[in-house]
Amino acid sequence: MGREIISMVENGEVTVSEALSLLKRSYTGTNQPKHELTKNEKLAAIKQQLDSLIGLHSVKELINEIQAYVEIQQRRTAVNLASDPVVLHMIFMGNPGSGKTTVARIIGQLFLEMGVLQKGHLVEVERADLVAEYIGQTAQRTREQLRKASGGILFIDEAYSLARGGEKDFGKEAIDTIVKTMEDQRTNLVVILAGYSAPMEEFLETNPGLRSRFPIIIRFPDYTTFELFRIAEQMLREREYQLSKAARRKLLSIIEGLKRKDAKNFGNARTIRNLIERAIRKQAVRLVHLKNPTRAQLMEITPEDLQEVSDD
Amino acid sequence: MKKVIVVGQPNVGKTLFCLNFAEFLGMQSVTINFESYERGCSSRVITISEARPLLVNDHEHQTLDIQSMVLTMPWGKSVKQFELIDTTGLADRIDFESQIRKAMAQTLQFMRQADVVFHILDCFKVAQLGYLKGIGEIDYQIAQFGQLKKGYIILANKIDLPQAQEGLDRITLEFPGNKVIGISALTKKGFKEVREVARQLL
Repeated sequence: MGREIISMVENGEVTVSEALSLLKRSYTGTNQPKHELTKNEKLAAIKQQLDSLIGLHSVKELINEIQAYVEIQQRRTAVNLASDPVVLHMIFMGNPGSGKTTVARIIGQLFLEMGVLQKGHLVEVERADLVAEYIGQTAQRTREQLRKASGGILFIDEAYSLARGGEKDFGKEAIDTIVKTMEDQRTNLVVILAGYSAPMEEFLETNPGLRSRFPIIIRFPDYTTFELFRIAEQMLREREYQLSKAARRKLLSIIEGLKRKDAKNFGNARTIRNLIERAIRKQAVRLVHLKNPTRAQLMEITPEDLQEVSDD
Repeated sequence: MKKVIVVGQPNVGKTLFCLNFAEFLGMQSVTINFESYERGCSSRVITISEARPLLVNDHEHQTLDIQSMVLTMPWGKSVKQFELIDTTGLADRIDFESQIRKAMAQTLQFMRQADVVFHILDCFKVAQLGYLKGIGEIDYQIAQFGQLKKGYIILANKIDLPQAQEGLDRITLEFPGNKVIGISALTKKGFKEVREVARQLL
């Protein structure tokens, strides 16, 4: 409670006086132990974080399912009922900038609180972190990453690149090492293979053993135009900027244009972030000559600040 | 070790009070622990006379770190140690700069944990601007919050300036039931009384 109030001051949501009067109400005295969040409250906070992500309805639903499943398996174990071993290795499919890494991070926190993982951290790797140049080194390098990720999540981006390069490529060795470790170390490590949808499907086709070892497949849909717009607004709010009315219209039309032009390769949320950051810089250039810009001026983004960015 | 926190509006003389009170208690140099929101902790041994020009300044929000020092006070035949914590000024408006907001939030955090609150008011300002402007909403809130603590004292600072006595009287009226001591952080007037009160509370 107290911590929340204090972070409200930090975010400029309440004045210090208001915060003090709130604190007074929640005050419990100095000698009593500090109020620790209970497990349920922490879980709720993480769920809240997940819910605050815009769009991604199917993803949220699936994560809810997983959470419920894990919870029930734990309870069944507690009363000595037969329970399935919980295999939580996952495959994330989706276009760039559709929220895969963000969701992986939240899942790490969630599993930590649920007691599935001991640390819940995220180790993000790609082909170069796993595959070495010479024979015999790949397994070593891969094991090193697996050791780092132990107790958390190993997030392999563009996982299909491990299968590229044909028979003699060491990528195969990396996959084998990972699968071996997954079998040996059934608990306390979650491996997530991530990548674009089409090559990912192909990857799974060519490695039929993988599908059964990664039972959870989460597909990240592309954001709709309006969702992208809301993401933009959220980003601006976090950075304490505001769109003027005309700028809102312009932003919507820019997003629509981008989406129409190149629906397939459209970088989703990442493009939006670039757009916003560009606008913030433009606004800065516009204001830098003003002598005494007001608070409102410093916050406002006008249509001329917004410009299409080429997404490359 | 008991924690004594010094709070108040910006520029009422919190830092100067802390340094001079340390000197008054017989310290020549102090180890100041700086606890900053962004840069973490650091500590520094410094003589009081060096610290004064370094840390005290006419600008608002000169202090953005939590500056704490451990002081000793004679206590019967032995001494008693306590921590004196200097904080960022608490202002009523929501500050535009996030750094200052964070510093204020940090101050609140420490205030929750403190045992004794020294609330500094500027009685010269109260005399000059009238109590409506001189005493802010924030001061009333600090007073209310402070009363929940083991000890809460109002220190009406800048009593050495002309007309300040009026301000002191006004403050005494405005905060009935609280201990109000007129002090001058600059000339160390009233420090003896502060020491006596502190001795009882610690």
